[in-house]
Amino acid sequence: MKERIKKKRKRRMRRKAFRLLLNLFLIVSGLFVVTFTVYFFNLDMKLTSMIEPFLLKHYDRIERNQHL
Amino acid sequence: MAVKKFNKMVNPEKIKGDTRYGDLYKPHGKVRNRREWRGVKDTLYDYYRWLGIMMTLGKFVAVPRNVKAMFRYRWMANYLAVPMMVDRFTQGLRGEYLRMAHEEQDLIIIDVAKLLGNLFRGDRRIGNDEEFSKINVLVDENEMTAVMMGFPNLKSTSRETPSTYVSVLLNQHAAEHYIDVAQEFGLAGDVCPMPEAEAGVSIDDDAPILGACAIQCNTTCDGSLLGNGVISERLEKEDGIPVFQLPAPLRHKEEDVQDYAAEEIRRAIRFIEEHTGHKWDWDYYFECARRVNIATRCRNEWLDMNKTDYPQIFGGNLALYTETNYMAICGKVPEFEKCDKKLMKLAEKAYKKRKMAAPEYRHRAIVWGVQSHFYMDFLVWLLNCWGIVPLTDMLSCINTEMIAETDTPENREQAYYDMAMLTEEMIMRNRTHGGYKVLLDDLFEFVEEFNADMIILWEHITCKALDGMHGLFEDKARERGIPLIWVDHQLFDPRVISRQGVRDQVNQYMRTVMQEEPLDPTLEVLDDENSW
Ligand code: SF4
Repeated sequence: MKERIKKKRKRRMRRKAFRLLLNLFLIVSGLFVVTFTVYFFNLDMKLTSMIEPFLLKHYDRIERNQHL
Repeated sequence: MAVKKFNKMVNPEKIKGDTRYGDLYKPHGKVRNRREWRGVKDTLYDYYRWLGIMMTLGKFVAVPRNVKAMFRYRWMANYLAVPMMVDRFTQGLRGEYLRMAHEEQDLIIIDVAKLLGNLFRGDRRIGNDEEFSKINVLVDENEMTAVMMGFPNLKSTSRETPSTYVSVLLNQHAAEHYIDVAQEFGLAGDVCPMPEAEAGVSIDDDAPILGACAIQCNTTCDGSLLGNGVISERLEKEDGIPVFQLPAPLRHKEEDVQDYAAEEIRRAIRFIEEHTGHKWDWDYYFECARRVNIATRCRNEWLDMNKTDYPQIFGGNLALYTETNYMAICGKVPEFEKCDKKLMKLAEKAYKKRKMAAPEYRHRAIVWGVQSHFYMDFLVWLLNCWGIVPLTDMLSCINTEMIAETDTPENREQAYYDMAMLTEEMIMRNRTHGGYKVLLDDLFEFVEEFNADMIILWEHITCKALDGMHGLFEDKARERGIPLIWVDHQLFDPRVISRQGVRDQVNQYMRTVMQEEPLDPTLEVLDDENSW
């Protein structure tokens, strides 16, 4: 009886560990797929190049003490 | 005289992945369509280094004052382009060459991020940390920071490095606004745009305000005197930051100026001590001197390697790193010593395997003159488009001598002369000034030593120091039968001569005079006028 409970517990533990590893693997591969897509298709630079014009407009509005 | 010829070398190893680099450009675009495919191993390596750069940038923007600064200083917008700068400099690189580029550039990015962090922490408008501000000594962008080698607890902080120098590397159009501002306020339009843009930042009220004092140097030439005058006026009269003018002799090869130069170094150190309350530390000085020597030894070995059939650290990999390590770092940052050693290992490994960085080496070139800053990756283009190997550039041909590195009473005296020598012979001015020998004769000695069969001569059209010698360069090249390609540009301003304008000068020469076809025809004409 005790043996069977032990085995059951072991199996449960193994299943848990397997699920944990699987989840970890899925998260890491998901992150890899997303970041690699951003990297390869240059999405980071495409995004920042869209931000630049707004920043430039903002700088034009700043009051400055311009002089020699 | 017969024209000197080099027998082309073909790479026995196939370059993996993309080879038509021009296809990656988006016509008229600011950025590229996609990143380069370099084969599985190298693409994954490049991706991993990109993640590292993203982490550095992420850490930087996680500090609220850095974000505040982003919204205050116009030049900060250029930092949106950091990853693209790395892509530009690593175009076509594989294996060891790709690794060398990342070792250098990723470290430079970390170092600039630190510099920006320091600037904004002390800046009266942003972080306003007064105690921290007091340990900063402002230095010029193009200034040898040797006088800071004995102050372990002070920071040599350059406002011009991130606002103009790095900005133009990141975005070719970065300096245009500041050049225009300077000219609106009456500064001449035909001066060197580098000091002019730096003055423009100050006039535009766009420079962080911090520091216990400032050291300005007449580097690199009389052009920088113009900029320094404008900047120091504001620093002293408005911001209350005292400025020391360190006038290093321009005729740096003359024996009779050296005592005077060493005395100026002594005075500069006294000035820093007086205004910061910190004392000169000889232990730290000699520790930095030892690191300066390591960097010099490594650079000498890399240049020796480039004299053989299998050059390893050349082109963009040599130029950008040398400028940073020699002037701004000057032995003060231990991480650069580690980087020197890593680069040495990679270079030796590649050399043993007789590696080549491109499918073909058709010409071995010495690149001379002051290069266009808005198109520093032109060196990469030369290799990829025409198979021209830029063995060394003028700005990398700097000091090759060791300085005193052990602490003795005689060496303490010698140290002032060593610091003076480093300051006098800093990048650019060591060649653009100092006489006929360093600018003209040395070039043709390098041509012999490096077994070069071509000279690429940058003609920065507002650098009077170089332009006066135009005819003499041509005569000497003709005498020796060396093809010489003039490449006009205006350093910081691509509106005068664009990147394509720069490329066209080489394209025309290669097609008409050399009667050659490009290695990668997609790179010959690029629609990159709008590009960062
Ligand atoms: S490029 Fe010429 S003009 Fe400009 S700072 Fe250098 S030496 Fe002076």
